[in-house]
Amino acid sequence: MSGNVATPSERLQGTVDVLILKTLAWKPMHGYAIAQFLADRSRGDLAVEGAALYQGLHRLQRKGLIKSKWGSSDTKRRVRIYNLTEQGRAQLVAESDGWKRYAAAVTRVLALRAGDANA
Amino acid sequence: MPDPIPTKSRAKIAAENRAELDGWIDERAEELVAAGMPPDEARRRAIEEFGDVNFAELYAERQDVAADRRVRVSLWAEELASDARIAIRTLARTPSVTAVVLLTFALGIGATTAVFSVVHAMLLRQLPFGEEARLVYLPAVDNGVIRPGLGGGRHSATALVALRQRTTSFVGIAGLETANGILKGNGDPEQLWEAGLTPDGFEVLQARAAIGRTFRASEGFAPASDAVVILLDGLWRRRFGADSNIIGRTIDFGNEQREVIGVMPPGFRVPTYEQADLITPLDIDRLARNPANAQVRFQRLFGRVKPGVSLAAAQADVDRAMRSLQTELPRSFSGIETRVMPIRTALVGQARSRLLVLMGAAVFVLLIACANVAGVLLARALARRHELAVRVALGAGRRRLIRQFLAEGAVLAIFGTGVGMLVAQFGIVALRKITTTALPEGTTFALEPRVVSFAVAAAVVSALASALFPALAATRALGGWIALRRDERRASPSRATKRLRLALVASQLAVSVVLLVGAGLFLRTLHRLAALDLGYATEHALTFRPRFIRPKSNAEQDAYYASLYAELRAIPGVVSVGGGNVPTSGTSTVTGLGIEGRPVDDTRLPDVRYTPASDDYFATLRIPVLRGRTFTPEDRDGAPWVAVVSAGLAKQLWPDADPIGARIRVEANKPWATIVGVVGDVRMGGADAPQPSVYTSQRQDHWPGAGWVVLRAEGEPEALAASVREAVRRVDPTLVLVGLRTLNEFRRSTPAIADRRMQMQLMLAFALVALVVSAIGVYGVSAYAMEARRHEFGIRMALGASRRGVLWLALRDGANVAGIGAVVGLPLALLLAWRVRDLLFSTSPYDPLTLGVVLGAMVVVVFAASLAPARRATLVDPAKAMRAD
Repeated sequence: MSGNVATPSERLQGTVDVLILKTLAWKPMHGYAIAQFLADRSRGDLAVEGAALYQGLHRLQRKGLIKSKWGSSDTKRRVRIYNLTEQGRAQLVAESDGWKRYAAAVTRVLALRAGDANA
Repeated sequence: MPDPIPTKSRAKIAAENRAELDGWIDERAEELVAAGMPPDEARRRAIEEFGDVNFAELYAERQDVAADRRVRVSLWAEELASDARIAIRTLARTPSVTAVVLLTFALGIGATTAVFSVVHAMLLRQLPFGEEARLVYLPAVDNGVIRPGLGGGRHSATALVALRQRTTSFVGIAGLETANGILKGNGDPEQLWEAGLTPDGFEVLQARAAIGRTFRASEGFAPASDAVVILLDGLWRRRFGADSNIIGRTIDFGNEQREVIGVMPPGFRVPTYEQADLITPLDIDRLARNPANAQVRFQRLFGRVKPGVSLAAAQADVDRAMRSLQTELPRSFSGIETRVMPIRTALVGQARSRLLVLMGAAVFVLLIACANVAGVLLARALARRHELAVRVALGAGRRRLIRQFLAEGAVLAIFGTGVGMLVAQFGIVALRKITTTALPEGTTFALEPRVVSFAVAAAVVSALASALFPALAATRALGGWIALRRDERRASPSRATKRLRLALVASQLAVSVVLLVGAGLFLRTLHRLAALDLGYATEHALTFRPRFIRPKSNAEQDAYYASLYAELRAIPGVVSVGGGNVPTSGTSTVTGLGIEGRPVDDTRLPDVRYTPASDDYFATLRIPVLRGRTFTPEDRDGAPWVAVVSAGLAKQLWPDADPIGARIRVEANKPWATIVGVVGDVRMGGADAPQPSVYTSQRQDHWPGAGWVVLRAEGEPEALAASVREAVRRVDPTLVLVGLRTLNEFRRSTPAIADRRMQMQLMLAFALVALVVSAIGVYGVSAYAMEARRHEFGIRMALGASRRGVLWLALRDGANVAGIGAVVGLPLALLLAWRVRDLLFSTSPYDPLTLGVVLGAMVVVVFAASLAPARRATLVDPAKAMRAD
């Protein structure tokens, strides 16, 4: 990872990355479209900042999990369209399992009532 | 193959990312405008929502540059692999050309490696002694020269003792003398070489036993000196099965019971040219006590110079000691000096210049092979010039193209090294057979790790160099090719590249001329040597050496010889049988000749070759009797001693008088002998001048168990070998028969001839390879030139040029190349020939016959190589050639 440029925390990166992969699993999209997709599907709860998303896209591209090419969007705009690679698809499967377990674990902990902690 | 991933510059990456970012923000801003926001505010809002634009941009660029770099690396590796694949495929597409190139390259590598293995063994490998720099050989110098042959350089025991006492520069000076004896027990009796070494020898050499120990100082004195023996590794393994319990056991050698006290490590050898199987202690003081031994020179001396003493200082010290000896004992030491010589120089001797000549020849062969590789790659590049030009136009860098050439070179190097190792192994096996007399006994050479790394380095460097050269030439010429228009393609592609190819072939021919001249001169030398009149006849003669196991009394020995000669004469096909040393190396040279009535220290008498001879010795060897008589049955034990001398000796000692009737003795402890006859001179090794000789009667002068037997046959002497062995067994079944061979073989194996034969054979092999490879080069050049000029020839013939005229045009390139090759090669050949003139024998380095034959051979080969393509050119149908596109 880059040295003198401060990076977002690993966890946050991981969250963004898995969201991007999941989104692209539906269909190839350009950056802004992904941002909209995430905002729509999470009903506005998961408003990922554009900069984080943009960085995530280039990071994933470096890792070879996604690739890009220039094309035109639905609104005839010249955009860089990202696509999942085979490697990215495999990574998504592995990551989403991990994420579900993680989320479930966090949920369980948050659902504890007083007194349960010592049981 | 995966999708081609174009790599990008940093600036392009930044520009694309900027465009992506701008698009992102624009799209959001447009959305906001559509929702009713004023454009300025919408844009500000969009940027705000996006977050840290600058950081995101920087981050993305770093990610992309890193990704791009990785792509570049994998692309590079992938391209390398694809280059190699392409190289293999293109090489495989022209299998015959590739095979020839590969084979010549492998020959070059193999020859160089094989010769290098010997160079390595002789000049580079560590000697089996400690601190080589301080170890010196101290040969005797007679009247300014170290006498050649095995007898040369030897000192007397007196000299050894005197040098020890009168010099201060040495830690120690040791003496070594070789003899042979019979080992009995534990299998068949066997003749072995024994090195008698003064007990301090191991200390001087700084050599230790692998098991057991070396000599103690007390073991240099009789009778203890007879009791112990140290085995060399080879004998120990061969004869005693590498049994480490051998220490303390007794063996029967030379009719003595000796206790084995040590075994030397593998690789150890005595520091002389001679062979040795075992080492016994030498009692030098006992020898030195006898004043008569001052002239008996059997010892080779070597010493270890004290630390801090230079060789020059040691030489001055030795010179001082020798001068004092010369004053005290003029009879024994006048004209004798001692040289201080680094041990390696002594061991390598003349082999050094021979080896360097061969190494040079091998490197020449390699160079020619490289020129061939370069030529073929260049030709292929020319054939592909349009493809290359298109690729350059499409953006393939010059580097990329050069790399493709290098890939072809690398493929050739890999296969060439592989095949070259095989060639080298064959070469080494062949070299082992022909170098036996040219190298010190026990010198081994093989494809050792250092030799193999040399071969690999040579292969890689020469393959890459021969690929890089056409790569640079072809890619530089590309600029010109791109500009060529379609109709101009017919013309030769580039003057520069054509000249380059001609230059390559011309230099091949030049090198071939050098090698051919070298081989020719050695061949002439060998012929001169073989045709040289030795003073005795070597045709139809067989020789061998019988060795007694049991010591025989004089009478027993006489009877034994009489019955041996009788049995041999009875073999059908045997004309006559003689006994006595065959004139060869110089083992039977003595220095103590005396003439009755002449003062002992009057003048130094010549060293003479001396051998007892049987009555029929002269007749059998066909040595002419010039005056008087040879030996008769009356010249036997008890009768007054008689001698026969050679014409040269007679003339030298009695220039104006008749030698017959004069009395001489060959050694101080032998009786005076009356000269009864004068016989013709004989040469020893072959190249040396005839040596003055003295012969005594075998029935008066009894050498114990020595002496050769010669048989003159009617037909082929080889056919008699079996009958000879049988006859010898009938006379005495315990007898060991040594060195049975024809006299011609004997003659060929003398160092003067054998060494030169090896030189000649190798030079000739190298020269022929060079010539064939050059011929291939010439063929390539003319075939290519013809192909390029088909169109032109077609036009010429359509315009009425005769076939003959076109043929000449077609041959002209070959003639030019041959001319340049000769003009460059001849002076170089003459220069090198002059440098190696010492290796020649009665052959001028500028031998006109050799030069003529070489030039003639070159013309014929060049002509033959360019004729086929030239003829094809004249068969062109003008109409077709002009229409064809």
